[in-house]
Amino acid sequence: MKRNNRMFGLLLIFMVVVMPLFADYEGLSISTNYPSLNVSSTDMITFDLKVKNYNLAPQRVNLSLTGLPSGWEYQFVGGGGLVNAVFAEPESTSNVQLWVIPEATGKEATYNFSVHAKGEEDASFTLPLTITMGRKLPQRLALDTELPIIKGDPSSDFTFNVTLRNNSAAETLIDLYADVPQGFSASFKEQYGSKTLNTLSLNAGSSKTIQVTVSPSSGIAEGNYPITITARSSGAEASVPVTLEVQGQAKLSLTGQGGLLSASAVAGKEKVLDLELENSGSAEATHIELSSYTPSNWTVSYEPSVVESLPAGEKVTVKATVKPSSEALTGDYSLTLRANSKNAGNISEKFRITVRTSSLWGIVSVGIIAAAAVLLVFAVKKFGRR
Amino acid sequence: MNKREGSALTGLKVIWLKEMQDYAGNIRMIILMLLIILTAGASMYVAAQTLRSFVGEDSFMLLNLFTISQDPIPSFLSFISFLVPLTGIALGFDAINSEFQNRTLGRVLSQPIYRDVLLFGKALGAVSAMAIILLALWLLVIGCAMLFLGVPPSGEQIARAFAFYVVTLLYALLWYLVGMMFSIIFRQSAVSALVAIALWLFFMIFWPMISQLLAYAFGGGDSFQTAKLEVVLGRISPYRLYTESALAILNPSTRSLGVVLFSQLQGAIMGSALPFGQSMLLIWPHFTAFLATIILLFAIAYVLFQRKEIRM
Repeated sequence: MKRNNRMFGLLLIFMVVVMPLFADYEGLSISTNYPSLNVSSTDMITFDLKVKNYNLAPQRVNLSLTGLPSGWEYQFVGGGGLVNAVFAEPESTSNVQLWVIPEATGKEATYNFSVHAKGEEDASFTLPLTITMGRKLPQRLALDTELPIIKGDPSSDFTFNVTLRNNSAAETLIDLYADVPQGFSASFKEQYGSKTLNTLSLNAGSSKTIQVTVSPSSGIAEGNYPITITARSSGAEASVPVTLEVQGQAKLSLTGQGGLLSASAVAGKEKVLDLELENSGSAEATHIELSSYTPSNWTVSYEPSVVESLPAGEKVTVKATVKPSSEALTGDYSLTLRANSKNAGNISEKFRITVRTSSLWGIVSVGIIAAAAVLLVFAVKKFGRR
Repeated sequence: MNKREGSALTGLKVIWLKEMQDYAGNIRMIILMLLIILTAGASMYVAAQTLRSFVGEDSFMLLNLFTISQDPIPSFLSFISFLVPLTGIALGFDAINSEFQNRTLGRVLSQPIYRDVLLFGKALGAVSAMAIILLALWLLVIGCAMLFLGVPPSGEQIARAFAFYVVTLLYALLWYLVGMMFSIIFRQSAVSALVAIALWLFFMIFWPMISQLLAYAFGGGDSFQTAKLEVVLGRISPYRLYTESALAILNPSTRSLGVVLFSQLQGAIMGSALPFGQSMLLIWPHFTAFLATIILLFAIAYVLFQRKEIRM
């Protein structure tokens, strides 16, 4: 019972509040959704007007405008042309647009003017309109980042977290761009997602953090690389400048003289290889230790065994003394020589060492044959009598 | 002991040419030649057929022709290693004792030539005859290789084929000298032939078994020592020396002929061909052994012949 009572009460309130709207107003009306506008530009301003006839006879309604500042222009537009009047049937709405072209002043000011509708038999209506000029509209997209400068080396990825905010009044589709130097690439990701995205939809008033990953092209020089990240919707644009602070990187290479990666050596005999240790990177390499991975019983020693510092673009000659195992087979062996720098990492290069047999045994064998021949000559001398 | 008068080599050319003449029309030589050409031809043909299916994959095509075999026909190399000693023995087993039996030795030596020259001339004649046979065979192989495969052999392949030719000739000479030595020792040519063939069979078939047995007996249970001992003992056989040399020459990727430890193979790039010189260095000991044995055998034969009573 109590519930019914409440329902009844609600119904009563509804009747009291709402019914007067449906009361029998007689006359004309002109309405627009937003009668007072703030505009920033001096472009044309458009009002969508609705002219309605409440319980009057069908009639022609003349439209006029008063109170417009001098120098401003206006037009009523309907059905694709300029109009001065509309026809209002009972209980129906005629749509007409009011175009107002303001004069640029550059000052902040408020302008009031009125639209008048005049029908037959004193039926009329006045709609006051307001335009406020020069006030800045709130930016409808915002993009910012907490860390606009990131340091790194050329081989790493630079990841910026940018916050994108939709300050407009509606859900907006936003495109993301990054203006990167040639050879760089940028990708966008949700902060805790793995999917790359180029376009996202953002609710009114909400914000989202986006990860922007920029990969520099390999082998770029040390320096600062500015990048602009831009978010763009159909009517607004926001951008944030960020900077990649690329630090130099050492890049080592180890080859034989003239790029040769092969050599020959005699089993059990030391062979000195002249190696070129080159830093083709953009930063100094420090404390380069030279080492090797050899077949068993081979030895490799370097002179010097540690290069303390190698500036960018320079090369030094390192002597490597390779001693194949005395039991090494004739033919090709693979030898790995390594350089390990404190700041430039590890490099290794495979060398092909052709092991040759010492020809000493060849000479010994000639001796053996000679001994046999001497024996024969001796036999001929001794027995060659008859 | 009287001092010799004049050169020891007087009349060498006469005997040399005469021996060659004898060999040229010899029925024994003709049969052996036919045998060699038939067997070698068959294995050559089979090898060429096999090789044609993968032309272009190997840079040592000509050499493969010598070594490739396809069941049931053995490779050219195995035929040669079997028939070459036989040829040597066939030419040598009655070199001297047939002269005794025909009673021609006295007649020859009554001419103004030394006994040395007879032996030199006979050996020289046999070497020349065998060199000519083998050269013909080699040219046949190289010619067939170009005909069947359409690929001209490279310089290195020719060099290797020539080295193989030299080693084969040395091998043939060795067995000829064995035959000649027995022909000096035994009066009956049948006996010397049988003994020479028995020696050949012993080294080819039985010595590998015996050397293995000996290696096991004296290896002391260490498998590496046993293997090393087996290799050393096995190389006493000229057959093994010859096949190893041929392998090193004809298969350039052969890097070692002995026992190889695993540690020696670490880091080795397999399958890469050795340069010709390195392959030759690999078989240089074998080559030395051949040459020294030949000189030694000849010296023994010479001493035996010189000390022999030839008046009868």
